[in-house]
Amino acid sequence: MKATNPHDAVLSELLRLRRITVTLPPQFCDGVWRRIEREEAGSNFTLFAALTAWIESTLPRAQIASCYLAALMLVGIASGLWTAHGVSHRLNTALSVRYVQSVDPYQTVISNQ
Amino acid sequence: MKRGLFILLLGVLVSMGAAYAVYCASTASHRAMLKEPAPELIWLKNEFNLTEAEFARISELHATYSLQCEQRCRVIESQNEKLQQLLATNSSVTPEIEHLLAERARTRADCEAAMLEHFFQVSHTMPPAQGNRYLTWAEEQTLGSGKEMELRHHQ
Repeated sequence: MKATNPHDAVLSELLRLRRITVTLPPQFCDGVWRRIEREEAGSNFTLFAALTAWIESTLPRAQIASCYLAALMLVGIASGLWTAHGVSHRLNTALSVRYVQSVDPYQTVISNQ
Repeated sequence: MKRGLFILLLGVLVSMGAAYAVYCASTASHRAMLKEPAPELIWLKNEFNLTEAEFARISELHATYSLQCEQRCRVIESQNEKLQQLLATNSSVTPEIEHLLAERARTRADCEAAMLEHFFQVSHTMPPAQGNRYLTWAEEQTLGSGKEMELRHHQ
């Protein structure tokens, strides 16, 4: 792209004529690369950091916090009821079999085989 | 601690607590049932909506029946022992073995008849609708089972 501003042309000329006289500190390049590596390694945690930041910004709001707690409580109640229903059903079946075995000795023999 | 994370963890704890509380409350009657000396009879009481008086009578019938059942089982056991001895000393079906087999079959038939009689007594102790349901269920579970032997010829 060509510079259209006359000031840019002057600046470009100055930059062209500039001579760097300052020497770089020892292992400057290594330091730069190390910083780049650190930045890249740090970028792996971006998702976690974003999630944490979202939680920190969203959950403390009173309405969202109460909705969140109510929803998890409902999930817990449903889960407890479902598990209890399964356990009760299995227990009822086991007890009915036990009753049958207590009155019919041949059932005990069959079930033990 | 950060407030958002605290609420997040609190939610998980609330959920787990609710699940545990509901589970304990819903299975309390079953857990109490298992601590009883005869949980199968408590199951019968709950399943067929028996009153305390009906349950007491059925428990009494069950105890009497169990005692008689045990005696019949001992008779069959001694007949089995005799049969084993006869089979060990004979190489063909002797009249004595035939007699013992018939005697053992008769004892087994007595067992089934006594069991059926017990079912009738129990069903008569219940209200008619529940009694009929019990009788159908008990017969299906006992006398109705074991059809595999007869059905094998259909294959």
